[in-house]
Amino acid sequence: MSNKENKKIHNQDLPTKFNYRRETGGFKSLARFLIGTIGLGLEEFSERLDKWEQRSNEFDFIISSETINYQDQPDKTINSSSLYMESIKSDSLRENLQFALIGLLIDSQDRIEATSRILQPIGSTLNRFTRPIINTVGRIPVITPFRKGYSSLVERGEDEFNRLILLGRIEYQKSHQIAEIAIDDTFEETVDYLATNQEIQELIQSQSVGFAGEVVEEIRERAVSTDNFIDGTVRSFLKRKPRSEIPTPQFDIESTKSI
Amino acid sequence: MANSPENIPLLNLKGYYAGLMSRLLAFILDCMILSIIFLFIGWFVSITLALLQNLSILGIDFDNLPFITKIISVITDPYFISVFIFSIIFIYYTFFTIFSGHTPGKAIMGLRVISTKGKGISFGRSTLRLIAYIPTLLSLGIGFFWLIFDDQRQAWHDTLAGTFVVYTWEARPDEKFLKNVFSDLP
Repeated sequence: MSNKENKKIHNQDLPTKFNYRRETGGFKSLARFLIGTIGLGLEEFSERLDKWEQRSNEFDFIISSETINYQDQPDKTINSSSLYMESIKSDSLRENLQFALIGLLIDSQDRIEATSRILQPIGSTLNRFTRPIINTVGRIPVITPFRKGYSSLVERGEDEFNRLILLGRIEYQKSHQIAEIAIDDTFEETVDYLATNQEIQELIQSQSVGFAGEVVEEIRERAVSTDNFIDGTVRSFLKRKPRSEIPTPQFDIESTKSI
Repeated sequence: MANSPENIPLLNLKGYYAGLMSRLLAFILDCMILSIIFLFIGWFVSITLALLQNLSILGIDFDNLPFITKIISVITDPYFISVFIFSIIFIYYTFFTIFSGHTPGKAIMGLRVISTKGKGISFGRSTLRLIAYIPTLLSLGIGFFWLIFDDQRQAWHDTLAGTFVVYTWEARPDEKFLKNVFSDLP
């Protein structure tokens, strides 16, 4: 099953309690269209990013596993790191700054990921130690009314959160559909426009006619070459006077169009 | 070697007598066009006959319509088919040759039929040339290939009808093609 199909939510998955009213209107439709377009675009972009990343990784592997040979200087070989150092020396300050910023961005992302990996066990350890204390405090009778109020608040918050999730999921599906319809319609309209546009048709036609003309001319030229070749061979074999000595007919070919 | 690319004139051959290959290709193209016409007519006739047959299956008695029965018997008669085919070829050939000087096949190959005086050909000469094709074809193509030995590149039907076939375009040999041909020769 594809990612797109996985993301599609069917109505039977939704709880029956949830009353969904699909409202239509200018702003709502526009919002749905925008959400759908962004969603679709992000999905497509994410898929492409994965592909580009994979290709880039393949390229990295080739670069790192091979040394580069200069064709004109076979004794001079460099590896990828020396190539990197040489590129730094040759780049301008502006380009270096640009690359440094990109490097910082990627590096900070890596650092955040690394930090979160460190913080995660610390958080769980803290949770493990504090949970018995919180549970004990929660059982004190004086705190019970506050605890009940807190629990009801949490429940209400959770319900509201779940409702928003469900609404978001339904709306996302609808937005997806609207964006798909919009893209399909635009594509069809573009194709229709291309098919009915006189100028484009003329352009295609002239190119086809031009190509057909070239083919015919090529066949004619080859036929004339073969005519002369056969004629010359037969005449030289039979020792007859060459074709160049036979007078050319003095007809005005243009005048033979009509009788 | 007497026949080398250097010895073959690369001049503009417009108005010069057309050679064997150009004419052979034009003839093949005409045959193809005629085949398509015959296929279309054959398809139309067979569809019509099939429809009439279906009418008889549906209970319409053709004994009451002797005219249709007669038409069917005439259409399927081998003599009629032969005459019909020849008529189509005659119309195709004479119509195009008289009015434009070339059949569609010859037009594609850039050829034109002219009289020995350099004029367009008349209906009589066109008909004579078509009939003169019969001995040319009956001679197993010798009459056609005769143009290789003739100074004016005339086949038998040209000689009998008093016509020439000439190039109507800026006919030049393809130098690249010639070089390839000669380089492949032993």
